[in-house]
Amino acid sequence: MAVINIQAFKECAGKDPEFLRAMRYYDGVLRISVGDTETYDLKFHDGKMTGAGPGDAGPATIFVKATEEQWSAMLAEYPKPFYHSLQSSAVRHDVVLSGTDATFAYLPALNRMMQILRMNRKAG
Amino acid sequence: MAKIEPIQGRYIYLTVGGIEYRVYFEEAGNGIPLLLGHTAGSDGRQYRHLLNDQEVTRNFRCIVFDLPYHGKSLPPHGVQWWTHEYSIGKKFMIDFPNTLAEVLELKRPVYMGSSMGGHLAIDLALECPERYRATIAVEGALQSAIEYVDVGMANIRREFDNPNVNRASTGAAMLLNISPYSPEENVREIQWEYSCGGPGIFAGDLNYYYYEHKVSEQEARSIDTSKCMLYLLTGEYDPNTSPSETQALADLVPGCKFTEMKQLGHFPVTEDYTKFRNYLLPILSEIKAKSES
Repeated sequence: MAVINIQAFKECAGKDPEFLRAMRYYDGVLRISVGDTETYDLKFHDGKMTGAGPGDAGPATIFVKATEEQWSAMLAEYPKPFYHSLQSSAVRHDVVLSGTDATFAYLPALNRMMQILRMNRKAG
Repeated sequence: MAKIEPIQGRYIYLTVGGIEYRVYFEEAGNGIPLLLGHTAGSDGRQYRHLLNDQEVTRNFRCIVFDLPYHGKSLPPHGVQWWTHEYSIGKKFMIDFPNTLAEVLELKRPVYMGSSMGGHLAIDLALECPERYRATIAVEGALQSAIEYVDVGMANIRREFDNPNVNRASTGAAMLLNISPYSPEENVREIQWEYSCGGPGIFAGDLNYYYYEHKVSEQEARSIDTSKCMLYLLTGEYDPNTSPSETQALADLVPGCKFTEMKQLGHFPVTEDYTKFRNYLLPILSEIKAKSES
């Protein structure tokens, strides 16, 4: 089973009030990468998700890149220290997280994204 | 019947570094004075559960202060604070609780603080042990974790004092410090408190937390726990001051006591007070027993 199920995420995020509000006004791509070969792009226009699928080579203002093992650790129901958040995983476990203004601005959405991914993984 | 908590809030005027501040503080309980210092960028609301804990307040007069520019302690009048970039330093951090204790005429209080307040507990034990009977550092160390220190103040301000980023993101960022075992409503309360901070205040506080608090190994060895006992409590999930960082300090300070707190993070007082008090109550009992002997 893939560590990220992007269609399940799209379905859940698309009706999640917190995620939808936290993404308001965002224009651009939120990219999730698993290792070097598996990439997903979540595309937004004025805060609305317009697509979710395999990534392309275009620019992404916000991105998270981690190995499959790192994603598994981050998406555990109770992650080990310090896999419990994207930022602590970046600083303490070398997960790659963009450092753009948009990344900081949409951190509430990224936190919620991780919660949804975690719930999806638990649900199988 | 009205449901009212036994917490009283008042304002006191303190002059620190030649500037008069109108300072908000809350207190509950009777007995040995216990000063409580909050984390960077937040305020004394973090201690609301402790102030309602009768097992604490029956023997301790708990006094929680909001540092100037935090919570209900407004910026001072008579100073054009809006023309300066806010930054807090070690001298002010030490002078502030000392002045509060003097003005309230507290007799050798206990000091407990968390995060930057935790680092301060170590600085107080080092710099002025005659003033305090004990200090309790929650998430304290010789220095904050080097991975975060190396980020640098310019990048800290880019994340936490950036006109393109609203305060909700500062709250969201605190998730990195919070144990995944914490009840969701407590996580959101911590994030709310951080989202309420004044502009640039959290970033300015980090000047002390990451840079001005730096205790050398020689200084750590010189802390005299016979004058001022030093207790250290650090959460398993604190990446900024991890248990290993606190252990490095504990290994140097003769007589200090360190306990790692399982399933807690950087904000244990608020993350899950029901867990935190299991670590705190034995310390307070020990302080009380020593005070009576």
